[in-house]
Amino acid sequence: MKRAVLSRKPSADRRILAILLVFLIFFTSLFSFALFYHHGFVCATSNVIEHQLALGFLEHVAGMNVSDGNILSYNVSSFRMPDSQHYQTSVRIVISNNNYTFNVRITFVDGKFWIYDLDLSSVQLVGDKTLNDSLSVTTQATQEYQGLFNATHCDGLVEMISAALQNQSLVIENDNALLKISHVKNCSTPLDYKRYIHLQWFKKIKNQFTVTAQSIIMSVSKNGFLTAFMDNLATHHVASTDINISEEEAINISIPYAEAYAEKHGQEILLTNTTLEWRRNMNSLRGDDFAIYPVWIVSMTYNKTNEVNVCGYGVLIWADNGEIVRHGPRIFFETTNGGHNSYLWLTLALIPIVLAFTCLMTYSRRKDKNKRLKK
Amino acid sequence: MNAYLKNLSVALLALSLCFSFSHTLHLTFAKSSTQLGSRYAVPQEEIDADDNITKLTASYSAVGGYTVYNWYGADTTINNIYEAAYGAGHTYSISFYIGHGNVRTVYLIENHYDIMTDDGTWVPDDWIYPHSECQNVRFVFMWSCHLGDTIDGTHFWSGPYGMPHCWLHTTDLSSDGYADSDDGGKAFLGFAGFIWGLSDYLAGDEVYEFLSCFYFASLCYGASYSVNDALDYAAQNVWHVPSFADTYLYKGYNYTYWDPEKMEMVTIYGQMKVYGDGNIHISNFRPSCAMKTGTDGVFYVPNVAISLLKIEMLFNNSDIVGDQTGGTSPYSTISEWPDGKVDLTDILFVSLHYGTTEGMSDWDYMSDIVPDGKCDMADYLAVSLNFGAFGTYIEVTGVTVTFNVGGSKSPDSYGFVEIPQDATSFTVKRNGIPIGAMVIFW
Repeated sequence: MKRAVLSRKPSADRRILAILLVFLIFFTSLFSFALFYHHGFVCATSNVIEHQLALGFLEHVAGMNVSDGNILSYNVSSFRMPDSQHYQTSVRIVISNNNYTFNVRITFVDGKFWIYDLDLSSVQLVGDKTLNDSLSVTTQATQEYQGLFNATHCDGLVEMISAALQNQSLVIENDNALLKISHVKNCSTPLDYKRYIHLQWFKKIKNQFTVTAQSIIMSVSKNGFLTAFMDNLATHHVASTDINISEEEAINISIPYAEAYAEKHGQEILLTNTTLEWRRNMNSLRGDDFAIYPVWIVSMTYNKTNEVNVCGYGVLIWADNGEIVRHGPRIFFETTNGGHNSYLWLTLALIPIVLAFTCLMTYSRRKDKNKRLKK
Repeated sequence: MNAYLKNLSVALLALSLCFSFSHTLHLTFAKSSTQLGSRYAVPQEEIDADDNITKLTASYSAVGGYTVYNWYGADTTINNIYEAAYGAGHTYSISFYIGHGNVRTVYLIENHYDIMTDDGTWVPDDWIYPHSECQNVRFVFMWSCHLGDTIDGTHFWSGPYGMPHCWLHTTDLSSDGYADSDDGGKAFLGFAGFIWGLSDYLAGDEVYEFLSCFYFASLCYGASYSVNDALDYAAQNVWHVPSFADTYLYKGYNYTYWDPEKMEMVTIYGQMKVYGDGNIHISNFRPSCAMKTGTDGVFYVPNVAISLLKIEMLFNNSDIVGDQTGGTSPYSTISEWPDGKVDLTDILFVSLHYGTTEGMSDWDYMSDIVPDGKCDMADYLAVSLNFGAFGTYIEVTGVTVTFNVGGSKSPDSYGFVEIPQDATSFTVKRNGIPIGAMVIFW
């Protein structure tokens, strides 16, 4: 008890000191915050980095004028996706540029740039940009992006776009990467104008496999705006390239599951097909849901369709550790139990009656006509 | 006596006006979300997945401000299908169906489309059509084969047909509401041809997550995400592509398999269709404000248009009284979120709102730590006394909310507590003992 009383005194002094200190901080902070908020529009303190990165991207990569007067509205939403460890921050900016109003959404994952998307719905959909003009836009955007975000993982992309321009080729491939370009020749919908040029650059896994989660994607509109930029390489990573399970082992692991299901439903395995893919760790089964692992996909077809429309079974296995990702039947909502066609027999029965009636009518009309002619 | 009668009649008139006005308001803003789904001829794995997704869409619908009617399973009857087409009597309604779909020819040349009840009865589109005459239903998503084959109209012999037409009661819908949206305020999402089930071993994970992301964005963040934005959001999160236009669902897909009955390889085709106005927002729901007070769990009811509250965090450690900001808020309209430590950001935040009172333009309920409707020295001291302290928050379990008008309420399965009409204050308790809380008001 005594100890407690004794220990209160220094604590009380400390509190007085703390109060004095915070008063000092209080008045200085009022001043500093007033300066901070004077800047133009309100932004949450926790999203300051994203705010700066978003404006930097717009100015340098998308080539827009982002002075305060041009920004009509600014909105930030941050949330964690269900079943994910990652926080997404979505910055939505309405910006006025050259008498047009643009809606821009920029998404960050854990503070890293991920997606830029430009909505052109309020922009007049005209343009005469060529394929070469649009590819030049992607080159410039890539260079600016690399400089702004120190994105060394983009090395090689600019060279491949240049090669595509030189060779007038829509597919460029080397040992490490694959570039695919598509363009809309006849734009008819707003979406066609927005995605006049669509470019996807894959970094190959093991010099062979491509997966969207390891790619950079860009779109350019018919009037030369960068309308989409997505950097999956900055956010997603290949967690393993080891293939420790052979195709045969994968089949051996899978067969018992398919057989057990088949036995229950009076079916037998007829065909087996196996493929190797790199897939995201969906549902966070192995921790980070943005990590990519090799997966064996073993698909089996049964000799007949059962009572609940199942005619196949599949097993997905992590190819690096041999664990099952998931297994289950092949299910689609196509049913053999078709709907009733209640009028079919009635229709079929009506056809000869209608035909007979028509023939009879024609015959009687002709007969009348002939009679009249004879008269 | 005359004066008395006059006063009485004026009072009665005012009362009746109030009643009629509130009734009008109720009708204007009544929204329903119906979930339908048939278990007939569907394997157990799929039933489990479908049950989960309908519960999830129901949950997100509740967050989006809808009155929810989850009729998945045994309640997917003919009458409830008609009721869903009627919007369950609500003037703004959305509907979701999962299960088998069917296309059928009558009179040899006229196609009709059917959905299935839980007992396997096909319900044709033309039976549904008369029930949607009120046009209460604004958005329909049918996860089923063939029901998005066509928008369509009225057959010469057999009458109205096409699920989009029969549910939305119009044929004036854009044939590609994603690429070229109309401004009609109605949208239908469905599939031309076939679609995988949500438990399919190969595509099930993806399409389940696609649906989950779509409803999450369009209902919980509906103010920011239109139907098309939500489709993009789902495409980004599931397939890592910038937009829905990059997905196989939009572009169309083939599946080739060995058909044991026909003894040959069979290729079937499918494509997701967005008909109508893809730019509609099916929810504009967002939380209004947040409050975090002391460990006694005492709050007042903010003087803004709210009807629900949700307890996000609990704490009994007095060291983190004053931890008002620094964290990342999961809500677009709530900018301040605690981060487990009382530091300079918290002091700066309270300083910024110092001297404001409830109702002022720069007022923030998060700055009112001592709940009295004003941000003053008491609030400032509450933060400053804990400057440098940190602590952790407790899982939200065993919570009850006691309102000053009497009665104790537990959160529903989505974590929401309805605020009684006349309540002005409440206390948050855990296992019957008052406890500090972070509360969001909707």
